[in-house]
Amino acid sequence: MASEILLGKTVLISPFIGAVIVSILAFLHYSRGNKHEGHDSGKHDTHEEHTSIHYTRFENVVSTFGILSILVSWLSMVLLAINYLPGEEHETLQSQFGFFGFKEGGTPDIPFGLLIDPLSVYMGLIVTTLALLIHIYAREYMHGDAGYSRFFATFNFFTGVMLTLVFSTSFLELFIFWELVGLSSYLLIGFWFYKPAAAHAAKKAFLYNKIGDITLLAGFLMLYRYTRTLDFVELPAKMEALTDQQIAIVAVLIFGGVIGKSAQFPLYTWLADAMEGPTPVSAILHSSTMVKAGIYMVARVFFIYYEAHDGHNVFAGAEWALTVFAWIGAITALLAGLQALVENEIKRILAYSTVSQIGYMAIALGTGGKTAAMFHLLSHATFKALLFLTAGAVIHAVHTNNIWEMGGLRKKIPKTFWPMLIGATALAGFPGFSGFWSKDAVLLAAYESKVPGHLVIYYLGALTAFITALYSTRFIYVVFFRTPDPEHKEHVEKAHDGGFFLTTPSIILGVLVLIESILFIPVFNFEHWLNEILEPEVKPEAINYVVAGSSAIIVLLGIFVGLVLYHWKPELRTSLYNIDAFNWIANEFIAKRYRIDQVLYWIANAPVMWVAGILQSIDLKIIDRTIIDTWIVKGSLQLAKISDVFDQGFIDGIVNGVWQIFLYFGRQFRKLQTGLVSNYATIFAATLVLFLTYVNFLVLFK
Amino acid sequence: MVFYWYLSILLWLPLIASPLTYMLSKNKVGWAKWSATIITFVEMIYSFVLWMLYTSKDRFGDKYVTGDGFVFLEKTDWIVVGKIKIYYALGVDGLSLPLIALTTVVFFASMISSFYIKEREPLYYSLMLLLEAGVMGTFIALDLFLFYIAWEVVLVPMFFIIAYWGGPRRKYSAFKFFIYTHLASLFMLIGIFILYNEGGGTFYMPQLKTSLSTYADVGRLIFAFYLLAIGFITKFPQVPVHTWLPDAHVEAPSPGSSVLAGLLLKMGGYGLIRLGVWLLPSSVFTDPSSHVRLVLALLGMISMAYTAFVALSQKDMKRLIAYSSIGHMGVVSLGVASYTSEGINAAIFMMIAHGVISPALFLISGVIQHNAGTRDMTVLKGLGNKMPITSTLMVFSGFASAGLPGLAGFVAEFLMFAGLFKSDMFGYGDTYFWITVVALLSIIVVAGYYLWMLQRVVFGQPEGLEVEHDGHWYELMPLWLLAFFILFLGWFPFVVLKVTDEFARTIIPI
Amino acid sequence: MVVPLEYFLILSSALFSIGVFGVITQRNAVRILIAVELIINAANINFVAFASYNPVGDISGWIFALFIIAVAAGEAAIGLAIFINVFRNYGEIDVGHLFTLREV
Repeated sequence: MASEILLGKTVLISPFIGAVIVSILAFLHYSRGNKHEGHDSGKHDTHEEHTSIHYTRFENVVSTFGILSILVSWLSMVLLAINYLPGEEHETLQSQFGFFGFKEGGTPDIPFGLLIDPLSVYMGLIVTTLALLIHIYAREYMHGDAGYSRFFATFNFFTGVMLTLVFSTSFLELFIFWELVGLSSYLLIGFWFYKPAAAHAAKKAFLYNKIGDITLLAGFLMLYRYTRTLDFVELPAKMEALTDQQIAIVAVLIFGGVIGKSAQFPLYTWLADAMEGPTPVSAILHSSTMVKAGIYMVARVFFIYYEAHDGHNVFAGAEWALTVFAWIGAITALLAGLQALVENEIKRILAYSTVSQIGYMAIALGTGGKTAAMFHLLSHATFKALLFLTAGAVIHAVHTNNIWEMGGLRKKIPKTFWPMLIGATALAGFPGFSGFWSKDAVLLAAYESKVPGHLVIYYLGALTAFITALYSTRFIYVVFFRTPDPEHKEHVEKAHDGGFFLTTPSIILGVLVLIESILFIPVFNFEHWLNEILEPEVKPEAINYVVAGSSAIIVLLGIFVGLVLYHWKPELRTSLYNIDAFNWIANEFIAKRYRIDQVLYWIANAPVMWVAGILQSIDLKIIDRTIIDTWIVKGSLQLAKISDVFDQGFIDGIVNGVWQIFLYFGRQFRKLQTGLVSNYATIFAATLVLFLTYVNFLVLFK
Repeated sequence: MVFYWYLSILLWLPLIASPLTYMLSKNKVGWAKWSATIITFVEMIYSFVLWMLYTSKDRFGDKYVTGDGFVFLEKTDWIVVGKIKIYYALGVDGLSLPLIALTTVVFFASMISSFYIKEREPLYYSLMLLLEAGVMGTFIALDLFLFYIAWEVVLVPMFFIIAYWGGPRRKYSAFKFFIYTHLASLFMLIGIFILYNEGGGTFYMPQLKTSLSTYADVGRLIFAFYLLAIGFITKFPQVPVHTWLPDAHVEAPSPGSSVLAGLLLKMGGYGLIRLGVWLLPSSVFTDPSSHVRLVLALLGMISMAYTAFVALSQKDMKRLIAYSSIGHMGVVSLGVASYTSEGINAAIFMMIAHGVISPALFLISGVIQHNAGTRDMTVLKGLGNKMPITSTLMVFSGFASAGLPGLAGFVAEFLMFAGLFKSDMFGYGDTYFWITVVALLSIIVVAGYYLWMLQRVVFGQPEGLEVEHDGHWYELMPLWLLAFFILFLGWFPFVVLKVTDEFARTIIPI
Repeated sequence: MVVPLEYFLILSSALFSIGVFGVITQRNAVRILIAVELIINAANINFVAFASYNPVGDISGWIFALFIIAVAAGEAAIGLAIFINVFRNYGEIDVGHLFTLREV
């Protein structure tokens, strides 16, 4: 018990300690007067070598500490996971404290801490394993970059934040780390911040996420309103008391968060732009872990949609939300898949493929397949991380991102080719590979579910499977098999494999994909085991050979069509593009992201800026100038003028009059002062006489 | 005998130091800044000591003077004229304690970052000390008369700081600032007199509170509330009486802006909670005939949404930050309007959080202006390479202001929304619901303009900018200090909330 | 024979009137001074006369007369000193020509 909590804490804290150590190292390095190297290089995912021995030594120290901290985290995670092997008793552990420090009674405090249960352990294992491998990869990949230490600090920070998200125990904690992974995504996409495209992509990613975050915030605050708690352990019991309408509101709003973070239609375009970041970032944040946070969260709060005691009973209120979600997943899967088909940059192909695969997971969740979603999450995380790492190695080798500037690399970079082939095969869902089994589970969930229109969703999923096979074949063929164009022959000739740290992680991941492929064969009952630990209350679906068989056929068909179009009959492609309608759809519609960005611009960005401009002028011209300046200030001035006239005409008039009277008399009286003593004496005497006469009169006529 | 003058020391230290600083540094100009800095530093440490004493009050209660719900209470007759009796009464509770600590921290940071000022140094620093005494007095005065004096005293040094050390349009802005806030505080004065009249003729707040809750007529109290609120919402400020703020901020020197945003705005929030919520009986808010909550909520919502949009189209960094301040103060209004303990906590916490975030942003804009020569965001570009530390701190504070979780601003926003959602918000039908929705959506726009600002200023390649070096130590040191508090409050909000929650419970037990 | 009080009063009135006439009409400062002495002595006569005819026998009238004589002596001395100074500065003591304090 206690030791497990301690292990859990080690898992979370270790990456943060790594980030702090790296920051201190960087601080020491730069405060000793070492200049930032290669400041102004506007390079694009390629490396100008900064090979001063001093800097390389610094890089080695930094990356060693970065990797070590993740290694500690991974080891503790493995130790923790051993307790959750099949057959063990799976208990839910919680270690928490009140975040706000509210005292007992009254305001419910919101717990903060650690929730260890099979779901979080499962997800945590995926995150730590991938983080470890990709850290090792980044050690060589980022070599020579000016921001080497910054990269490792942020990367470690991300790992810690992501793990804490996975282990969070309340909605508030989840939300805090939910936004912090958004922050690390922002910082890592904008890693080469001097590139305007990167800066723009970073902002876009954060804002698109923010839209989802706000709906999520509203969603769980509504939940707080109804239940007065946000604790994942306490919540399931309280859900039964909610009305259908309340559940519907909460369910829909929470899906809003998933749409932003997990890049679902219509907010998925940020993910492709996010490829401006370094490749290791794409490999872990934007394919295998961060964008899965939405899926993970829905799995975590599945009790909102399905009654806790019986995983198959949908809450009546949530049914509509689930249907919408499944549909959004299906649409996203299809649209993004099509887009991957026409995209030319290798990382963007993989990005759209990621969106499309997450769409699958959304289908699974929407149709009630929590296990299927988590199953596909695992297999996709593994092979997509592998694909990104190898894609990075390809870019590293040929210094370009465009697949049409590559070709025939199979012989040049074998240590990259074979892992990538394994990854692509798994992605395509070639029968027997990991992707096949997990995709099959998703399609089965859609096929068997009771959601309205589930068969259409199933058909869309199957169509996407075809497209997936097609584009996987396309990019593998174009990159590795096609004869390169003459003008690009030069750099293709010079291509060579990366060093130890660049190739080993992809080889390990390739082996992992193969192991998974074997493990996932129904004979080994992996899915049943997963089902048992994740949602024991649900009885697993029996394997449906119709679904499995048809999807195998579809995939093989997709690969066949791909080979036809790109290998056997490439002229067929040319004639297809000669059809105007096809050309327009491919180049003008799909390749331009179905104009989603423009539409969003016109419905969101443009009106906001318009309103901002108008309000700005209202603020300046009306509130400040008209109301305040004209009405109040000018009004006061008018009043002042009137008072002024009154003041000068009347009040001043009185005052002036008085002094003028005195002045006049003074002028008259001063004539009396002659300076002649006799005059004064006369006046004195006369006055005396007058006075005495007066007194006499008083006495006489009393 | 118990030691008695805990708060008088806090109040009188800067007040006495202010003229002394001016006189002593007549011949030695350089002394002024060090004297003022040392005084504010001592104040800061002392306020932390007071905090520690306060939190241990349950254990050592008899050692401090407590009474009427206040700690460190000081109460002596001050002016006695016939029936009018005015006390020199000071005291702190869960509302004022965090604000006192905030005051000392912000003043310390502002003092250090003022080191670039070279004109009339002695006068500047002595005015700053006077300002600190005024702000402090506002927060700890328990007598309405004393409160009003301190409230008005603040205007004078601030006026001169804007008018002497400000930018090109400083005269206009200084007068605008003075006229707005002074006029508004006259309304507040009328409100205070109504309270005095209704409450049986006393200015002493705890006594007034008791008598108001038993005798007064709700209708007249609501009228008094509106009068008081005019004074407070002009001070925060809220739309539509906000236009003095951008001008004052833009023209004030950056330490002046940081005090203005960090503390003078908080005086409005403090007044609203102290006089509006705490002093007046709860019937003002809960009476069926009262629309106080709706009015406050509308003001808060309009301020949040409106300033979010207006800030989006600003070109001057300081103006942008000034508008965002108005929006953040909208959170205070909404928190109070929700009339839940979460909401009150959120309002106080927002004042603290904004009190460390906005000074940081204003000081950063000052650093950028001094080293890059402009604050115009259409000209600034790519400072990330030229001024790495300032840029890092700017990204940090920008995100804090945009309400990123883990930093101070989020806690307040979250609690405010929790309060809004928890309150009986549908009591007003859909109105309250839409208020909440608009406030939520405006947060996206807030994130939008901050990110846009960062994209324009920090990111990209510098073109045509002559930036030689990063900020000086005295420009960066206060920023690190404030950044520490932003982070600290983001992760350990309970340090403050434990204190504020006690206060919130005295108003709304549930 | 008893001289009635009225005689003294008539004398003093006559002296007073002469004095006042002198003060008003004379332009030589010394003459004015002499006229002032006449006025003072008129008052003295009144004091002494009233004191002598006082049935109670109060002597304060006599004492006043003594005071007045002393003061008049002082006054004459100061007045003469002033006139001497005036004469030194202006060469004459005709008050009709001494009008520097006149309102211009």
